[in-house]
Amino acid sequence: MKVKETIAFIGKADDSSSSLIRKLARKNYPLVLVTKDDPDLVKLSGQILDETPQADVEIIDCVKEGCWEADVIVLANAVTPEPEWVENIKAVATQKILVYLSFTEKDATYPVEMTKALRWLMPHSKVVQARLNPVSQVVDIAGEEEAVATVIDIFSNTDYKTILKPFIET
Amino acid sequence: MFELLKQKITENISINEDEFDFCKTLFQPKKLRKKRFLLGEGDVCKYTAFVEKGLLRSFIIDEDGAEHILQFSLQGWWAADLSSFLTGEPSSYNIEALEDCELLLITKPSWDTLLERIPAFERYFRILIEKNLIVTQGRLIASFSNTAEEKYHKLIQTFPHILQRVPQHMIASYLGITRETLSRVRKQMASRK
Repeated sequence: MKVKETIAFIGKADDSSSSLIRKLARKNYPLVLVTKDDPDLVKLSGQILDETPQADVEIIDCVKEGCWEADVIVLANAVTPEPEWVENIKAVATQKILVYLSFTEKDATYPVEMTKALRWLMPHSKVVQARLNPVSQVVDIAGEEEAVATVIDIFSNTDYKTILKPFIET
Repeated sequence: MFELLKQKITENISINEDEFDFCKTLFQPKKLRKKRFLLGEGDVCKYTAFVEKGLLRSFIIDEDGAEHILQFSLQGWWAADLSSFLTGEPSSYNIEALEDCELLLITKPSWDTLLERIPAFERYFRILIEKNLIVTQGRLIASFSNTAEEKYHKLIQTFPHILQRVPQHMIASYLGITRETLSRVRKQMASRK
């Protein structure tokens, strides 16, 4: 029995992120959707449980609790790592994989400044850059070797094509 | 977080604050809810877990689908399939939370880093492994030579409050006896009080 990583999702629910969350839920990844007041994320959680009753999806309003439970923390849709927020989760995110995920159809560069900031603010977490193209369903992934292998595994299991990229530092 | 780990470590070795601060950066704090699994049969055991709060059980499932509990891990104890953790081979263990747990997980690479950077931890983990070996040998010998009553008595000595936290069928599985035998032993012991 494969024990799947618990994934905390932090970010807005739009078409691209909702599609990803649905796919992860269908593949039985335990999901913690972190939000205080995003009605779309709450609605999505309900829809997933209607569509896939065996899905393991939960809404948590406390970011620290959500990250404490998670093995992999996904920051999506341009969540800004504010120092106060980082301080809140730092202690429970040690050694965990922190995926900074952007959705773009363009072959744009990674959100380098954000991932650099995350690496600096959370030096004991494993920061991974990921860029998901919602049209081609290809995910470019970069970061530390062991963490990247886990993230590639998750996206591959969820039927995305993955491409390993070098971590962009500057 | 980390107070109990520090207490357990410093019961066995001396480390300074800087060394413990470094040690903390290698552990992954993890809340594991009741009935969720830390390890499944066939997976490689990626973590050794220190239990800060809660209770885990390690068990195997035989060909007939019967569960056999090898170990309960209480607060202040460690849980892992050490063989799989050290060799990277798939595990035959399942490790499940019997209560909501707060764990501190360490991977093999982080474990190696810890031993390399702070050699006192070699002594700490040697002591842990020695204790584990003694307990494992004791369980093996008891399984061949002890009566059901002796096994039950030993369980209560080792885990004084386990009966309030674990269902009877799991106690029976841990002792390697049937539920009926467990029930008979408990009645006999109660009648002697």
